Amino acid sequence: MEKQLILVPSVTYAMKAKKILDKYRLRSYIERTPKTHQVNSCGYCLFVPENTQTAHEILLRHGVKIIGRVAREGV
Amino acid sequence: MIYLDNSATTFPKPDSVKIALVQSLNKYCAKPGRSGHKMSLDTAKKIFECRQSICKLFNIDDESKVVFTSGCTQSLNTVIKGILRKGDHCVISCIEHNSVLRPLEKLKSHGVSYSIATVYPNDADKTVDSFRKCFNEKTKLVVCTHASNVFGFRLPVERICALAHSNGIRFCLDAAQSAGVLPINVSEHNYDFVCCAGHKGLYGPMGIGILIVNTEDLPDTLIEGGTGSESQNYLQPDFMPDRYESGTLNIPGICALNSSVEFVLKKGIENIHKYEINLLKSVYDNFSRIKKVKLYNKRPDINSFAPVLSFSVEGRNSEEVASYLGKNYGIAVRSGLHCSPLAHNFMNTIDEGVVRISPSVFTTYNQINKLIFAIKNYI
Repeated sequence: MEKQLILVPSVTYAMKAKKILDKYRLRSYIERTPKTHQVNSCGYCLFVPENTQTAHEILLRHGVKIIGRVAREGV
Repeated sequence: MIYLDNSATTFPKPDSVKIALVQSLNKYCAKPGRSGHKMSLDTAKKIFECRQSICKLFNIDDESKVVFTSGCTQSLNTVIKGILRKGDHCVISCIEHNSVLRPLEKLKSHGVSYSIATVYPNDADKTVDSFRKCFNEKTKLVVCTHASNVFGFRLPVERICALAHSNGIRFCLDAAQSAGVLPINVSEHNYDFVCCAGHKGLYGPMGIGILIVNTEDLPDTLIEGGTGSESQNYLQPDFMPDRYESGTLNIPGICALNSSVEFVLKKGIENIHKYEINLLKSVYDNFSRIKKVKLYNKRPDINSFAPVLSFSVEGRNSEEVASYLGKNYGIAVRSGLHCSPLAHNFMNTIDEGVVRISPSVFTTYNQINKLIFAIKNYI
């Protein structure tokens, strides 16, 4: 299963990432990071239900710092 | 009261700004980016919205380049003290505010030196050349005001920035007096740093300022602490804007600033500038016909001036004039040295000071006429 949660270091990056993906018409949602992964992140992450890898690459191209990808529980 | 001290702080504030300030305490009163609840996320969204508005105003390509500070002074201190190290040299103009001069004086004891470039108010070529002559192999930074906070004349900052870059020197624009009044295009002119206050031409409240960091070579931090990010790391985050935003941000200030920046965008900077300069032209034309009134510049125009005009009255101290206007006509102006001894030394007004008039979009021609009437009666 694709890891659909993109972990970013700050809530500003989460917002910036969502704005970029909106431009590419890729659906994304800012969500609370699962507790087990909160150590390195800001507490918020980006849930990209479809084309997560594409979204990941787009964000990297736009200078968004990504600190990891994890699977979303219940998906 | 007729308020003509808008260079210090704009007053009144737009109603939308007052509403946003109060609303923030009801709707956006949580720690952004840390706690997981809805209000925390809503607050973070509001802050991001403000970063977006600022990007629009200054043509910045990335919201994370926008740092919130307590004011322009903190922004300037962050740049100056974050870059300059022992042996480094800095160049400033001869009309800089104490918020530039004093940090540099402090750094002198740490082995930092600085030079002061002479400004030629009506000659951009000579001014740029003056900066060029101050550069040496140790020069790391140029800090330059966009416009004099006392006399209003603009500096050719776009050219000075380009000159600095061609010499491998970084450029910091002090936009305390120009943000919201003069166009500032960060992407086009590639300023490394822009420092502004929220409470002046941007019509926000006091206690909120902006630092634009448009470079990947980040200055050292002035303060460190909790950012809500990389919390396991003992060291300050190295990414923007968290690197410079330790502690709880001034959320009410940011919410109000967002609204005030929208107000400025809606009015249009060109319109604001043109209107205020026209008000000052009226003052200038009338004052220039009064023998005992001394003016220090040529007639204000939109190409050469920010909307600030200073004058003095022969035989009277500037404090006396301001006091007379306040007591007899309820006119609020600023007298004295305006925290800019450099500018007053340059213009030979250090002993008596000057009276400064600075209008806002809320100033009316009727108010300006009352000022003119008051000064005519005073002579």
